[in-house]
Amino acid sequence: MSKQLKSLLIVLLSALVVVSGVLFAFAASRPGTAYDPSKVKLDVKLITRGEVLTAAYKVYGDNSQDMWVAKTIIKNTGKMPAKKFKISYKMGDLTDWNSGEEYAEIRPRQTVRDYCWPPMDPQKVQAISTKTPVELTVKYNYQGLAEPEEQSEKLFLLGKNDFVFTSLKKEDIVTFADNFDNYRFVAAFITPNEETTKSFANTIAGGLITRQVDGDALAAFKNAFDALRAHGVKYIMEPEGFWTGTASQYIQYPKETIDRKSGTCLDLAITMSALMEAVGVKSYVALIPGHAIPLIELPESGDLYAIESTWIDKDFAVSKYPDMVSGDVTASESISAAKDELDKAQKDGTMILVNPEYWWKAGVMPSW
Amino acid sequence: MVGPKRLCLTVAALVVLAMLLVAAAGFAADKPTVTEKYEVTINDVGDGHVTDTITYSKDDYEALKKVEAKKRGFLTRRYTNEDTTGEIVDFNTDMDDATHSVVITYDKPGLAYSTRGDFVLYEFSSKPKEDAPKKFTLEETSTVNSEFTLFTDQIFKTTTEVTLPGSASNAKYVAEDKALQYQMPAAKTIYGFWSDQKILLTVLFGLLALVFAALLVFVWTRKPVALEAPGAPTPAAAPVVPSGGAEISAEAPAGAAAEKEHKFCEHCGSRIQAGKSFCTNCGAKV
Repeated sequence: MSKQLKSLLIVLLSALVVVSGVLFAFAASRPGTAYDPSKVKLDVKLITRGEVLTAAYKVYGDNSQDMWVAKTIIKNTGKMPAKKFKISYKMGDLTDWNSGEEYAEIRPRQTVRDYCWPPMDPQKVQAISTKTPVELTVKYNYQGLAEPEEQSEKLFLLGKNDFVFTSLKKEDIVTFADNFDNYRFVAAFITPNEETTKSFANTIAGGLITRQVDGDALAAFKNAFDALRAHGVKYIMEPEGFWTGTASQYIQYPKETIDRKSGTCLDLAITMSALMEAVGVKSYVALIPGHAIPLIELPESGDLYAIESTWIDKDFAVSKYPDMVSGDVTASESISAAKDELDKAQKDGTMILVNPEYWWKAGVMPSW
Repeated sequence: MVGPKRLCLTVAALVVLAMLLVAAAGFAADKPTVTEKYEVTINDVGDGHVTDTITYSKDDYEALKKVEAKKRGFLTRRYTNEDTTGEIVDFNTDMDDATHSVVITYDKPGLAYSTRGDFVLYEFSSKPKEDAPKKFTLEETSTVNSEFTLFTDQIFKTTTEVTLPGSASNAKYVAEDKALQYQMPAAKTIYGFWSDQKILLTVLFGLLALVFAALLVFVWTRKPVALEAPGAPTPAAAPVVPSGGAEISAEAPAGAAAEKEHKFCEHCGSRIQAGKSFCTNCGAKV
């Protein structure tokens, strides 16, 4: 081996040793494919609704209703999958930690949307009379994470009597129907099985075959009108649900209307509807501009009958509509007046019919 | 029941409604069928890209366009309300005069769920057909009454096309969930080639480094051989003498040059050590 060749080989081999050594070090320092929780990088964002309609608390707790209270958007921004990702929620003292969801893995670049449908404690919900802040906390964990991570956001529960007619932004309200975008939740206020309502209803349907005979169903309708009048129920203007900051109303449950012996047009319509449902007659509540009217559907013919329920308050009807009513302001007169109002609203395209039975089946259950 | 504020709101709504009704009168005249093509492309992590093309008759399209022009966002306000917060990305609406179509496009990260490892796409009312590999089609006819029909009843013929990622497998319709379910290859890290082949590459380059190092040592310890010109006499190499003039030690490398230094006693024939002036065997003077 000549000296020159030796030198050349030494240089060449030295270079190869250095290069392969560097590559060895580089390869050895690369993160492996084995699961390493310290390398998991998740972007977790908790989003809550601004306000929750407390009256519809059962709807928010039902995952088939698409009415989440909160949701968490989880994006894996790292290069390592997160394994056995578990997530659960707690809503102040209204719920315990729910059982939550488990995701087998969240892949790098994958986004997961997880929703919170909290089953709220009915007793505690019933005690919420005004807009109340509550802290919603999400807790999540994944394989290898020493301690679960938590995030919290504040949201507001409206009073149990508060009803926001629409959740659409003001600039998005275009049609009449848009003003009543939350109309289905009216069904939550119609509580035929509540004890006071049920007891009251039983007094109006004695001896009547309300579920099968048209005449008996109509008689029960008129009886309910007369019984509420006899009970002393008066028509009142509602206070504004000013704390919601949107078009809203304080709505009474039938029990409250019966106990307080007064209600707005919507309270009275809801009470009439609940009483009729309590005796097996299919009912509706029609929402028209500035007013609400209860209806029933007769069991045999399917005919609809509406009644001007504010005329339960005879004094109000006589003083306000002296040209339209007799001194007695009978149920039949009230049925006739309601028909005219609804015909007009229907013609104008300004009527929304709340079908409680439909919405109950769809998950908007009576609150109590 | 009606406060002044709400009365104003109601009146305003009624005015807009009247405007809509005028537009809708023409719109609903003969209730033509509206065709909708709802295309969804799912990527490898379940994100969806949606293109919804709704094609109207010329008259209906003009009526719709008139309303949308007066109230921009009227058609699509429900795509961007509180319900979809954080879910829809790159939302875009286009009105195509040439085809009388409204084209809505958006991305929905995480459109396909993967709670149990499988990916699931919900909201299929019935079983879709697999027209091509990874491509499912569902045709439905329904009566629609919404912003897209100016709140009149219209018959929509909707063709839904879902394209699954190329690596999807075992796609099937799950009737009880009304969902299309499919599987994807097992999740892995995305650090790239070096991480995927970490063990192989570490061993390979480690071995190479060792081999090259061994070769380097081998070459380093070899003595170079001086090249001779053919026929030239071999020059007598001078003994390597350390500085200071000391003699080279017995352990000095033996070579041809050192061999030349030895002489032989003319008397007894023994080798005479270099530098000696007499034979160490017989004592004869050299």
